[in-house]
Amino acid sequence: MVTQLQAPPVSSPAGSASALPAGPRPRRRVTRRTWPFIIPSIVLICVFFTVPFLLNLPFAFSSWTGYSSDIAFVGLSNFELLASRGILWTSTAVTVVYAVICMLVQNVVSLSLAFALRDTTWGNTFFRSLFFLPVLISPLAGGYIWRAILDPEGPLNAAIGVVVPGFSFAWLGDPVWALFSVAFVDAWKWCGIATLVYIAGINSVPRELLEAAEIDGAPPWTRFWKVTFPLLAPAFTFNVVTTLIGALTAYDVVASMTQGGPGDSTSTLNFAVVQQFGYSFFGVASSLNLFVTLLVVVVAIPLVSWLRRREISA
Amino acid sequence: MLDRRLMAASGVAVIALAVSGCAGTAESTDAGEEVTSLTLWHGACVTPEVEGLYEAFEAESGITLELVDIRCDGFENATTTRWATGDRPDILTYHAIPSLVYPLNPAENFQDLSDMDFVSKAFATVTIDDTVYGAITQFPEVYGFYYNKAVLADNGLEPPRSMADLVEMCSSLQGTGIDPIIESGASGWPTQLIPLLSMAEANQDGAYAEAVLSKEETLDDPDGPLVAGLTLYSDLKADGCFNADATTTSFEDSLAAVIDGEAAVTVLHSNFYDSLVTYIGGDRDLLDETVGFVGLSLSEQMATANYGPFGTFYAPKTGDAAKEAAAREFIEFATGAGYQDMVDSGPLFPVYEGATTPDGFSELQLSFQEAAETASPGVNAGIPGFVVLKDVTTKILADQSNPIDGAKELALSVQQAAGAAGIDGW
Repeated sequence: MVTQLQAPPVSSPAGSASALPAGPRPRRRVTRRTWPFIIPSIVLICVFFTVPFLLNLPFAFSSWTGYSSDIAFVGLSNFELLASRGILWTSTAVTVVYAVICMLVQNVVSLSLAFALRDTTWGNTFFRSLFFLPVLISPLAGGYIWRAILDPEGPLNAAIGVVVPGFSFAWLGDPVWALFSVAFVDAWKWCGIATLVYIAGINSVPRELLEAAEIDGAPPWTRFWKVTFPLLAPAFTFNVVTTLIGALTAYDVVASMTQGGPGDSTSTLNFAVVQQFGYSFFGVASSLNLFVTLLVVVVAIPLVSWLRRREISA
Repeated sequence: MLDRRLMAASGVAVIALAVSGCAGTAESTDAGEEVTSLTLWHGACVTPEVEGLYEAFEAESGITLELVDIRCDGFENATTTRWATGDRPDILTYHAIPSLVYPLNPAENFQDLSDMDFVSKAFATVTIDDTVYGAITQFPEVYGFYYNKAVLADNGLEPPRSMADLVEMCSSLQGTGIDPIIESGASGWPTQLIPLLSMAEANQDGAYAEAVLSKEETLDDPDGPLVAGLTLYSDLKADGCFNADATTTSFEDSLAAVIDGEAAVTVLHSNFYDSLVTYIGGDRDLLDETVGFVGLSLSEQMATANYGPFGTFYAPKTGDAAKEAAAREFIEFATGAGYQDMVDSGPLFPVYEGATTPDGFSELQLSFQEAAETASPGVNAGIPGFVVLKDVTTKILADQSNPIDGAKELALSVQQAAGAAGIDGW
């Protein structure tokens, strides 16, 4: 990981640590020794992603349904149908908003937790484990638990009722709050992993850089923004991309908490895919699947490129 | 050298892992081979009588039924999604109405049961294109309004005799602290029932459904029965007739609320009788004192009735001749040797000629029977794609749609499904 150290230019007494220059990322050559470790990943990606994706492609443009064995090429009519019924745009809008909320909440919370728990002490180890627990819970189980918590007569309203007597609110019954609630729960579920990645990133920041900045008189906030955060870029890239893609393909938490409701206010693209499968319109579901895949690619590739450009080698 | 061996070993290991994960468990047996178990998919909220039938069959045949529970909220989607993966049970418990059976491609996937003994004795079977695919063992689900007798009496109200009465009842109960109608938005499917029931008069003997399928009527006609039903639903919502947490209430909660007197009425079907008995502590007399049932349509007391998924059995083609034969054996038992015991255990109203009607029906059960006598079939029974009605009504409940747009959305869904089902003219 560490290939060269680029110390920040230290300015005169009143100066502070400035932003570190972005250098070219060192290219790692794939050698004969590394192939054995790469092959399993390639095979798994082919078996579980590439092949299903390629199989899905022809069905996306077909009239495949459960109603009959006849499958015909129908061009773009599946997409036209999804657009005319409003499913495509509604689900896309819901998914994008959901993903942005998830990504923001997850990264802000995880980064804060990582700073609070970066030192390896007995107490921090305990809390790291505690915050990692939701990752180990089944998303469906987690969703059902939160559905009970957010029930109008559930513990959350009861707790608020202690402070605000008579408080009652259907968190999952209001279209806007339902979307926020489900996205928050999804973020809560996966925060533990992002936190561990950030802790690893923070602990890999060279101490001498921070000490130099401190000697230069840089206050804590400046040290974070000018030294730590730029060096956290690889962890930041990983977390932002994985949380965003994870949220773009959300299904399980939505299914267990709201079933896409109220109305279709939490009906994400993947939820709509399953719904179309449930109605036995497999071709239409495949079209929607293709759209989800393209959406993830269109979002992920530019995002990764942009974030990687920001990265520097520590 | 070492590298090459490592590469080969890792590649082979992963392929083996993937292949083992993807390998099916298909088995093929001769029809004569002994069967020791059959898989059966059914709704998790199955009635005790049907569960008793399973046990009786196991005791009689020595075959173990491996029950696969499918959750009742979203039962149709959960079943068809699993079905779409190619997974097949030996016995399927599913809806009896053609519109919901079409998507399973019965001609391709179900055994033809036309030659079985039960067909000539049954009041109704699941028949599509003159072929019998399913055996019905239960009295139809009668859709109507469960009401709390004390709540209505205490407020000087009679059980409603039409949807207009329901609207009046709602006005009378405003401000009493009692929800006039408790709606189950979290469960989804109950939200379609008020519009569906309001179409009962238009759909006597399936007239409206036939008119739609023959294109004499359009679903999005502003003066048509569907738009009228959706408008009624929308108005009830706008008038505050539903519980404040309608979008997060489940049907189980709504039954409890009516028994507890927190709500005046809820619209559901008769097959929840056992749930009501359980909730009230098993006291059927107390349930009769507490709860009544009435079928309602737009202007008269007319229920809607469809044969339901509980105890409606299909024998899917699985490629295993022995198990296919054993599945037919189960259906033979359910409609023959085991039928009367199941009917007596309820008691249930029989749906086979020659079966004896047992004694001991409660007042509430008799009201189901009375409502069934004049009931119309549900419009959703005969029109493919009508399943989307619940999506339309949940959107209206969440203020995301209106009756006209909802009717248009449903019309598009029917166009899509009727075309896929190959119905003439679509």
